[in-house]
Amino acid sequence: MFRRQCLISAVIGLVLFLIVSFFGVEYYTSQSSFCGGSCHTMTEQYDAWKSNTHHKSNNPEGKQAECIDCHFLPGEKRSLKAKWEGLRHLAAYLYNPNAPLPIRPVIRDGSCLQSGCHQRETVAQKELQFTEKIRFKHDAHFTDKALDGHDITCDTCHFKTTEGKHFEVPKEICYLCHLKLEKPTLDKAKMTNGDGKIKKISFDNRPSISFNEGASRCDICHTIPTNSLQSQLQAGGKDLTIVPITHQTIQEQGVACESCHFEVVKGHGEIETGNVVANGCLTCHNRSQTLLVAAGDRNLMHGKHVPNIADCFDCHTVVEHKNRTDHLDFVREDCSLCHVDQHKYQKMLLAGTPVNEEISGSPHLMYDVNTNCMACHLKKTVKNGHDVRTASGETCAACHTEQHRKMLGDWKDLLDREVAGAEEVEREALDLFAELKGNLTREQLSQVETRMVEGRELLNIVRVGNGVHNKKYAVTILDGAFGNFEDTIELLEGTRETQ
Amino acid sequence: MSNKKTAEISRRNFLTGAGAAAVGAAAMVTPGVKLEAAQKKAPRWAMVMDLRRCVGCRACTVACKAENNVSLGRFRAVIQEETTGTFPNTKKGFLPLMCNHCEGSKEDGVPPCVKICPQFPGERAKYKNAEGKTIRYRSGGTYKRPDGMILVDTKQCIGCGKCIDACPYGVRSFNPFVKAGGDTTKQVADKCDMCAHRVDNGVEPSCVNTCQGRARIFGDLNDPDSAVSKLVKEHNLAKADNVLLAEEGTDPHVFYIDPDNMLKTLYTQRKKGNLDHYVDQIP
Repeated sequence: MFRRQCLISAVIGLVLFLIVSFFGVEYYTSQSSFCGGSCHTMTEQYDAWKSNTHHKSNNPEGKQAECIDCHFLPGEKRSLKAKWEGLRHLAAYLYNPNAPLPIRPVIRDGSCLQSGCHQRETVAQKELQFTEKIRFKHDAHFTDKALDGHDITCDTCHFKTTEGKHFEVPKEICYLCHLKLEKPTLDKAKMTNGDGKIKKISFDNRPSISFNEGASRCDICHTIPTNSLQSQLQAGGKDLTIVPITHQTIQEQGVACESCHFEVVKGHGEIETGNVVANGCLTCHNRSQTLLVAAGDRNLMHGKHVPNIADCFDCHTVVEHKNRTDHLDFVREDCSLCHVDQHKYQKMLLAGTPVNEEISGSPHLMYDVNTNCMACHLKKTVKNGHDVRTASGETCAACHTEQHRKMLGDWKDLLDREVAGAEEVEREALDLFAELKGNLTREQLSQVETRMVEGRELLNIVRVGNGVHNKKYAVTILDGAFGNFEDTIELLEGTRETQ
Repeated sequence: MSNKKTAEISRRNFLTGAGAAAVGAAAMVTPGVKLEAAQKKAPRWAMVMDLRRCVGCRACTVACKAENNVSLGRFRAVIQEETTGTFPNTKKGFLPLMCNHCEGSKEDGVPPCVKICPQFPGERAKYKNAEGKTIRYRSGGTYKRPDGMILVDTKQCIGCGKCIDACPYGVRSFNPFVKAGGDTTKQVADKCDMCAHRVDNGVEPSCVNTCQGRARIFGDLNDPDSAVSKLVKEHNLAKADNVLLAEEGTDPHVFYIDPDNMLKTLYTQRKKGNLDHYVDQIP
């Protein structure tokens, strides 16, 4: 009897103990301090969380989201499944402590949008302003539409954990969806009709994603300026019949944004199928033909991998999006395979790069509006067996007015005259030098030589670089050449007088 | 070529010795005031307007019109005026305006009117300075001479009017009676030339010569002994408060001694276009 009582009380005690310890352990292991405090692998994330708005000390409303509030759905937390998941992590760690954390943590929308936390309506309304001209709307991303088999959830974008930040949105994730672009190549610009007149420039092979339409449209994020691109012609000027060229007029003509804004996007966000790079398929998979056959199926690939298995950048390479790069170097690149720094004088003239400390000029007006070589050099001719692209007044008139057709010719005439003048003075200086060489002291000789070399170099900038690339600057440079030659003549004449 | 050479010689004569005869003439016209280029460096002509002394008599306006044959209804030098306060404590402020003969932007040293001129750079020109060094420059429709004067060459000007729009001070206008040499269907641009023809002969500009209160002081900024240099140094005039529209970055070379802050009250708050100054504002 006594033994039976003992047994019953022991069983009850045991049950009580088990119940108490179960809830105790359950309570204890649900604390954020348990996750961050007991696992040293979680220290970084734990610290980042503490400095994040999800911690009450940084939250404007004093609310706090514990680890399990986000990392499990509202119904899942404090369940056996949750504990099991934790134990599985522990087991995996004990099995191989050096293994990298294999699986990205998945935060489901249900956790973020649970009652008392974020509300779908308020988040959707939220518009972010990064800079004066770059903005972002949450709204468009809340459509429940799958993107190539990939549902857009909160953690599609808000996923990156970096030091001091529990999660953030890296810009690259925006670019990966919005800016996967095949850039246009030189061969793609051509004239539509064959009689040499340029009516419209079209692309043989349009970029696969255009900045003018669809998800890559520039104006989704950027505010497109409406002011005139012609510094001398502003809207509301005296002559109301002339409409200045703006971004909008260019867009109406169907000109691709990337024909001026070169290389704003770098990288294609493609997936390496090999294992040479860190983010290829074969980093995780074994080499198998059947595997690679299915690699083109975006829906399948996204369905299989995201969000549980991999991040976007576990497979995709990064797409870079930068502000203006040098729009001339983009075209010069093709030449520079063989010729080192080809067309550098043309570039110097267009960009107004200072020649030396004394001679500098303003950039050509077309330079500031990102117009590159191919904008004017449209006529295709064959010269010495090479395809050469030449420019003519036609191209000026195609964009501007009929009066501009004459302008290029005027510039050419002027510069031809100027160059001829400089050459004449150079010849004069050389003749005089040959005549009076004997009179010069060693010092004067070296002075004359440096002057002549300098002058010829300046003359060459305009001769080789063709001064029409920047008329005013070319004339300034020629003035430098004139100065050198004339100084030489003066110096030489001076020696004649002393004799 | 030969034309240029004679021009060069005449200029050299002036600049080398400032021409004894010319200076003598100048001394007769304006006793006690001599114009000499600084011996060491090329001159940089500038003007100081002493607003403490200006009484708004407009003798400068009249002298300028007489000297330069400025056309009817147009002015190269004007006085703006404003009455402040209530009777009996009223005060009248005067602000003489003219071309600022700007040095131009910091980057390339070209003023906006010259930068926009389609005829600049035009013909080459040169002269010899006091040291005998040849100084070369480009003329054009409108251009800056190495001594700082912004001039219009009526032969090269095509009358496009771009310089008139580009000038932030509104000191340029078309001359309704002179055709542009480059395009005879248009009128030539007209502006204050700081009486280059007088200065080249060693005489002060007409407006300076006539100013009874000596409110206008003209001279070489590169010469540390000139009245202009001394005033600029004494009143610290090279700062933004003492020139018109310093924010335009044009580096104007007409400085104002301005104790009543006329530049701020009268000029900066003016209605654009309303006070374009080739029209005088006589109340």
